[in-house]
Amino acid sequence: MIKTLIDIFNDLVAVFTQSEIIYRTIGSVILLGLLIAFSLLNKLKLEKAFITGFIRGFIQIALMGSVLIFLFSLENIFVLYMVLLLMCLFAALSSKKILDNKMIVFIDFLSITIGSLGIISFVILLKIIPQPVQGEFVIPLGSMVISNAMVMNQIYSERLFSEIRKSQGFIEAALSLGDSPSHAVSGYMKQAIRAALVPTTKRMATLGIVTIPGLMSGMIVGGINPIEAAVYQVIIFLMILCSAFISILICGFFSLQFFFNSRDQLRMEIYLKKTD
Amino acid sequence: MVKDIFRAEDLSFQINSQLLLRNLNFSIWADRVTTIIGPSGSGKSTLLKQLNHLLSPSAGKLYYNNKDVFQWQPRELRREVIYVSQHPYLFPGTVQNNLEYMGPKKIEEQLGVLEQVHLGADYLGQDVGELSSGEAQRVNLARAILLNPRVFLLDEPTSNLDIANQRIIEELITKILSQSSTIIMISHDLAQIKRIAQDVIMLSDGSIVDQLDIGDFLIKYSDKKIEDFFEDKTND
Repeated sequence: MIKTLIDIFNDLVAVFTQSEIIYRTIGSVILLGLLIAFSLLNKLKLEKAFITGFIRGFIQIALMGSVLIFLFSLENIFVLYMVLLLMCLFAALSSKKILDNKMIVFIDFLSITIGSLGIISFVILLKIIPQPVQGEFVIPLGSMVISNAMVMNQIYSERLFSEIRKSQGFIEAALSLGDSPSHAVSGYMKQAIRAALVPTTKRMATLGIVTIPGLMSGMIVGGINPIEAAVYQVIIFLMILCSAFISILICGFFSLQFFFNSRDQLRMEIYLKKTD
Repeated sequence: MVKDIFRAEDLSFQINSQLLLRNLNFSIWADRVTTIIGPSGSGKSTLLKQLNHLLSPSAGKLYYNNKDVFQWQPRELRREVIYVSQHPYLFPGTVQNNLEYMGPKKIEEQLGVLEQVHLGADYLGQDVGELSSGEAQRVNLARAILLNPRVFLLDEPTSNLDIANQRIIEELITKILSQSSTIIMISHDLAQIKRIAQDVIMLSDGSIVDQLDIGDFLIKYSDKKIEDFFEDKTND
């Protein structure tokens, strides 16, 4: 049954008045104090970031915990997809802070959405995840796939931007010989793809030894057979890599339109400097 | 009959509200060596990039072979009009990788062009990171020559080179390239201009100050006046 907002609020009030929760909250504040002391001692000037991050993160996650109860109860596939789409939008918006460009946000939104929702739809259609489709499975799964696609997309975009900004002379040299824009930047794209995918590939290679994923642990704690949990975990890792790879390829394709105009010229405004 | 290979009509170029080229009107004649001269920041490289269509006019018209540059496919135009930058941007790998950047070439062709730039066959397999600046600039030119363009746009091809390398490149321009191609180059070296140029375009602050053939140029402007022009000490 879908909870109302009043129920969620009542839940929150009930939880935060429990002495055990108050005690744990104080414990986390002590840890925050340690972090601030560490920053002050080393003159890192990170105190403000720690405090705002703690308060913001605490409120977000506390609210999210309650919202999750609502989301997990969803069964309507259309509504579930709308929630996933919203997550993709927020994922894309977070890249604006890094690259500060509206077109990149749009490219990220498009590539994360196609990559993530495409792969999620694929596993739903092939009935790889439990049927009937429920929020309690699709939302955490979507969160993992979308957040990883977002991070890898951002690593890719940042790396590609930085390489292309540094390499104006080389790219112009290639174009001036009559080369196509896609070939002129293909080397930089490959480097950026590798930079984005390698950390997750390495994490996958250390699964079960160094990396004990949360989802698998949760499933085992929840009473699911460890082998079955492991299969789900591997599927999720592959979903993450596939969706990130698709996102990156789409992002790469659209990035070409961002870096080059229809006359196969570098958009000089990217460099913001005189050419002579 | 001499025909113009490039013609500009009120060509202007602006980037980020900064006007880099202002209402340029000029003709560049085919099969001749034209030198573009001017103080630093006068728009010379920007103009060369317009001719290669790495940049396109913000206003006015630019014609290559009597056809508006916008009617050319950019890559088709660039394969006919090659821009050789001042800094030799060689791609990572060997000299051969660079010579074959735009596609495989017969080994005899590669060796032939290396010989033209005074480099031996042993350079083919050499990593470009190991080349001196003079050798790198010669490979840069060799890469362009192999594509057999109709026009070479040379952006100060001999700056930062020693006398021996300067002479090799000058000889290449006057004895080989200019026989079959049009050369448009930027130079800051008056002696070199006297040795190579047939036509001169004088550019200052994005505007054309004068355009004339080398004979008239040397009669009209004394060496002192030209040196002052390079240093931006005159408004001529």
